[in-house]
Amino acid sequence: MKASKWFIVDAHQHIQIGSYIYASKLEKPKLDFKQQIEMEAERFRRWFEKYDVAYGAVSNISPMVDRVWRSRHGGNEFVVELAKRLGGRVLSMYVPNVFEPSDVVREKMEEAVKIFGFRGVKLHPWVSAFPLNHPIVYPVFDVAAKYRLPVLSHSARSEFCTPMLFADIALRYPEVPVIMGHMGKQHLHYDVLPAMRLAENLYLETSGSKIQILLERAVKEFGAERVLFGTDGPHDLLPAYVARIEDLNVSEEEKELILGKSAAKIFNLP
Amino acid sequence: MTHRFFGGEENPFILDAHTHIGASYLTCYLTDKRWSVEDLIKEMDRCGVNMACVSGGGLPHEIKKMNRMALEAVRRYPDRLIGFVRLNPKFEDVLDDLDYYIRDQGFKGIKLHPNQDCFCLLKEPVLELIYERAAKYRVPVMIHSGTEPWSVAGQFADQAEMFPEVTFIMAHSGLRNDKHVLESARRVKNLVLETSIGGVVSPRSLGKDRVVYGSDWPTTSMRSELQEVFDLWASGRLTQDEARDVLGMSMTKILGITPRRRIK
Repeated sequence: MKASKWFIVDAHQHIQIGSYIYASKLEKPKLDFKQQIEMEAERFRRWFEKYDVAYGAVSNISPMVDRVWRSRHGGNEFVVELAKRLGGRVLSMYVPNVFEPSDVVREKMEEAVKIFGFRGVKLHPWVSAFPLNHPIVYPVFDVAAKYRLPVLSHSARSEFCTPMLFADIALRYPEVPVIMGHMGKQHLHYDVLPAMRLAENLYLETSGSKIQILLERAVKEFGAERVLFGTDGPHDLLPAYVARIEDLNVSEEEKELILGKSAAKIFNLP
Repeated sequence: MTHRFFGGEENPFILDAHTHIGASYLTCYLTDKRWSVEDLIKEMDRCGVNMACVSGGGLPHEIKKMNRMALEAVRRYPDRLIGFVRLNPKFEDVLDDLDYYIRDQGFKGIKLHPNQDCFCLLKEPVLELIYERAAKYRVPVMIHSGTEPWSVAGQFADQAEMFPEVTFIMAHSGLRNDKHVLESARRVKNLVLETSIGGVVSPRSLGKDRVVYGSDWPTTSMRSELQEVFDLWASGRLTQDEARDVLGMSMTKILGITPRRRIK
């Protein structure tokens, strides 16, 4: 896969450091946080090199699953540390705690953007347990709108993140690029095209969805500019995920857009 | 570790356990397009797939037509294609169809789709009669999985316990939606996981011949689904023997057939 012919941006990546899961006595990590971040940095460095991927949009899972944060930014700090070590390849995605008071959420997001240089927002309504279009999420989108930050969210069969909720929040915040991670997977896929029709600022991210004809229809109707490649990794299935895009019945230019150029535009990449 | 398509010297035998002609459950509501047996063979040739299990697919009222299409396909390419008959237990003549395709026409398996044909595993009494005949004819039963309440992993395991002489194949390995796939499969010996969409569960965690490659083509890119197995092989997550089993050797044992290579 080295020296890929494509410019690839992986719009959906994760680390998992600092979670309460690790804090339990049963699963106490053998490594401290600093050692974990060094290990993750090495894993990402090798992956980027091996697969010739230009950028990855990375968020930490821990702030999504921890109901009470143990630090000011609940583990988002580890993404900042990762980004420092990866020399510009990591696009930091901030995971807000929507259950905190709205002024606190705003304040922390301002810090995230201005002090730590986060480039986007990641939400996981399913594991965090909130409907994507609920008013508690408005402060997040207010700040995202102010800085034109893309917001990537998990979608699938959870009632908290159906494709139609994406359309609803995207209509409320037309300045914000709202990215539907997994494009409904294989259960809410019939909602995807109708949702996309409703809001021009709604985008699709390809990981977890395998239905070729759905993606081809989305490209034909809305343009490849509104489709972003993702792995939900990083992992060793990158060649298979790229093959899926290469095999689409769309033009080479459209494949280029999906694999990297669409994300480059949204994230203002060089 | 290689393949003419994926590079290298070795050319493992590949049998795709799950393909369709006509359409599939996941394409038929999104497009009017229908795929012919020539389309399937062309795709198999492109991806270096030697053999494939094929059933008809499409809208639920088309089942009988689908089965006839699958039969024509198998007759045209007997060395490449293995027929699976799609059965709806709600049809009055379902057992006649089973006998016709399996006993008389040499189909090697049964395909059930609880979600599309509106029946629930363990709740549909006619399934018992189907499984009795599957045991009699020694053919596996492949069932769509991952859509509650019709067909989820625990139901597969319960059913496999009740019919230990039948090999059940969980198509899609839970469709990336079911967190109990591995635990359920571990409960029994006669439940096999098919990889399309759901991904490749490590055969190490289940034992030999319990995980088989399938693509559910034309839903997915056959090449991409196949590439996932090769990616896991290349990264060391599958050993050479495990990869060969997943790619086709395990399925030949389940079907009781001899591997036939037609791809150079």
